[in-house]
Amino acid sequence: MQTIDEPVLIEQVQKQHDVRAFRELYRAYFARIYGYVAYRVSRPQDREDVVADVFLKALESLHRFSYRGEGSFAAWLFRIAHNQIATFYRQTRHETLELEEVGELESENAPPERFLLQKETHARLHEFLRQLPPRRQEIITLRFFGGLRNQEIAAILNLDERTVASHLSRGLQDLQALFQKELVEDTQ
Amino acid sequence: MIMPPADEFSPQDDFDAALGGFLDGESPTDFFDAYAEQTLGATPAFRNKLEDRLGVQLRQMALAAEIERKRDKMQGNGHFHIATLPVNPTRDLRSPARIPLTLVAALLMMIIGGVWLVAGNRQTEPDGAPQTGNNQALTAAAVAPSQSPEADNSTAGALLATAQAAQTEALAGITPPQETADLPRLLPPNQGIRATLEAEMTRVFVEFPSSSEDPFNFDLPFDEFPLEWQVWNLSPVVIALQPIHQDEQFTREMLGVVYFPAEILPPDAYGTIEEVVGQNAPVDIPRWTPIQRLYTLQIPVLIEQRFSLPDGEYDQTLPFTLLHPALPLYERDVPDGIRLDLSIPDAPVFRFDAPVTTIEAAEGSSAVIMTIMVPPSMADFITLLMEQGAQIAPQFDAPQ
Repeated sequence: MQTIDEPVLIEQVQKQHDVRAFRELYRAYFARIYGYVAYRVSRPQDREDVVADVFLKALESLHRFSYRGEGSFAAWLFRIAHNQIATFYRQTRHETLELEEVGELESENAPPERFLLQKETHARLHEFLRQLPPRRQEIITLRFFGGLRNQEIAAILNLDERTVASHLSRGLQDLQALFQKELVEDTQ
Repeated sequence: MIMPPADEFSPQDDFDAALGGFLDGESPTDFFDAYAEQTLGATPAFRNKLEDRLGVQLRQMALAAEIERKRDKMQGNGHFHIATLPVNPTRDLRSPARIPLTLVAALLMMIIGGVWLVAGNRQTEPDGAPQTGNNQALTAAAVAPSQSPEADNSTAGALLATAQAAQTEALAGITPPQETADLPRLLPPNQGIRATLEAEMTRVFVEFPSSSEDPFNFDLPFDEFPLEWQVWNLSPVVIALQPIHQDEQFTREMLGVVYFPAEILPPDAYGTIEEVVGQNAPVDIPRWTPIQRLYTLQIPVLIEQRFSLPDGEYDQTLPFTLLHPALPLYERDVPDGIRLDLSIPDAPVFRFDAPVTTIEAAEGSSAVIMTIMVPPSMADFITLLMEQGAQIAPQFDAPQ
C-alpha cells in the first residue's frame, strides 16, 4: 500500500491545501473505502452518498489528524467510514445489502463459466457473511475490503488486537462451515 | 484492492485451512478482493466525480482559510460597509465630532477616489479641466467595521495604501477637492451594499478561470450559485461613463478608466482611452461597461437586446430571492452604508467577479437580485465586472 509517501501528502494537504496531494490519497483509499461501505450499505445511490460523506468528512477533519505511523491514516479514515455508516443507519434504518441488489459482475473478459461460478460464489459469500455476528462481519470487511491490519481494526472498533484476531479467525471458520454445509446440502 | 499485510494474521494457517475448502485454491485476500471489486465496485464515473468534488471542496477550504487568516488580523464587529456619500449629504461632513469613524474613513477614500477621477479626467482632457460632476466610476470606497477604531484605522490605512499605489501617477500634482458637495460620486447616490459577514447564505466557492478568454464562461461545480472572495491585482480598463449608442463615435468625454482585477480582465479590454477614441460603437453600450475590442469591431452582436439599460428606471427588483443578508441595507438610516442592487433579467447564471466579493444570484426568475458582501480584510475597494446584459438598478430607493 505504501507506494505513496502518505505522511508527506497528508502534510501537504493540511498545510497547503494541496489538491494534487489529496487526490493521491483519495485514489489510494477510494477502492478500499468504497468496498467497505458497499458491503454495508445496500442501495448504490446510498452507498455513494456515504462514500462521498466519508471523504468530505475526512477532508474537513484532516487538519486535526495527527500522523502516528503507518496505518494510522487508514485507521482514521476507516473510523470515519465506520461512523458514517452508523450515522446512515441511524438516519435511514436501511437494511444491509440484499442479495438481489448485489451488482452485476463486471468481469466481462472472464470466460462465461468462470464468470458464473464467480458470481455464484460471491453471492454465497455475501449471504454467509450476513449470517455472521455483526462484529465479525465488521472485522472481516475491514480486514479484507479495507485491507486493514488487525491493529488498525482494533483501533477503529475500540477492541483489543487479540480480540480482533480471534473474531477474524472464528469468522472465517464460520464461513467455511457455512460453505461446507451448503455443499453437503447440494450434494444430497 | 489492497493486500492485507502478510505478517499479521496470527492464525493464518487456520484461515487457510478454513477457507481452503471453498476457495478452490485462491487466497482469502484474492477472493475477497475479487468480491469487493467485481461485486461491490464503484463506477469510474462516481469515483471521478467525487474526486473532482473533493478538489473543489479543498480549494474552497483554502480560500476560506485565506479569508479567515486575513480576517483574523482585524478586530472588527463582523460588519463591513462599503460606503459612499449622498450627493446632498444631510450631515455636516466637516464636523468630525458628528461623523462616525467609518464615515471618516469613507471620506478619506472618497477624496482619494475623487482625486483619481479628477486626475482621470485631466488625463482625458487635454486642457486639464477636471470634470467631477457627471462621472461615475464603478468603484466604491470601502470602510472598516464601525465599532472598532483600530480596525477602522487599519482598514482606512490599507485603503489609502492601495489607492495610493494604484493611482500614484494620478495623484501627482492634484489638489484634493475640499467641499463635500464637489466630491465625485464613486457610486450612484444612495446605492451600495452593506452586509454582515456572519449572515451569509450557503457559500459555494468556485475556481475562477484565470486565463479563459471569456471570464464568464465557466462551469459551476454545483447546482448552487457561486460565492467568491478573493484579492486581485488591478489593471486599468476603459469603461463607458455614459450610455453609448450604436454607431456613435467614442469620444473622450464618454470614457473613463477603472481598475479591474488583472486576473479577470474583460477579454480584449482597452486599457487606455486613446485606443478607443475615434472608433464607432457597434452596439448600444450601457454606462459603466468595459470597452472591449468587441465593442469597437463591426461584428455581429448576438445579444444586443440585452444591452439596453433604461437609465434610472429600475425602482424595484423582485423577487428578493436570497436577499436576507442584505436586509440591513433596507434600514434607511444607515449613514455609512450604501448598497448596490443588481438586476439581471433573464440571466440564467450570473457571475459576479470583483476584487473583493462574495456573490449570490438566483435564476429562473425574470429579475435576480444580487448582493455583494465584502470581507473587511479585503476591503480596499470593489470593482464590478458584469456580464453582458447585467443591469444596475441605479435608483433603487426612488421609484420613478
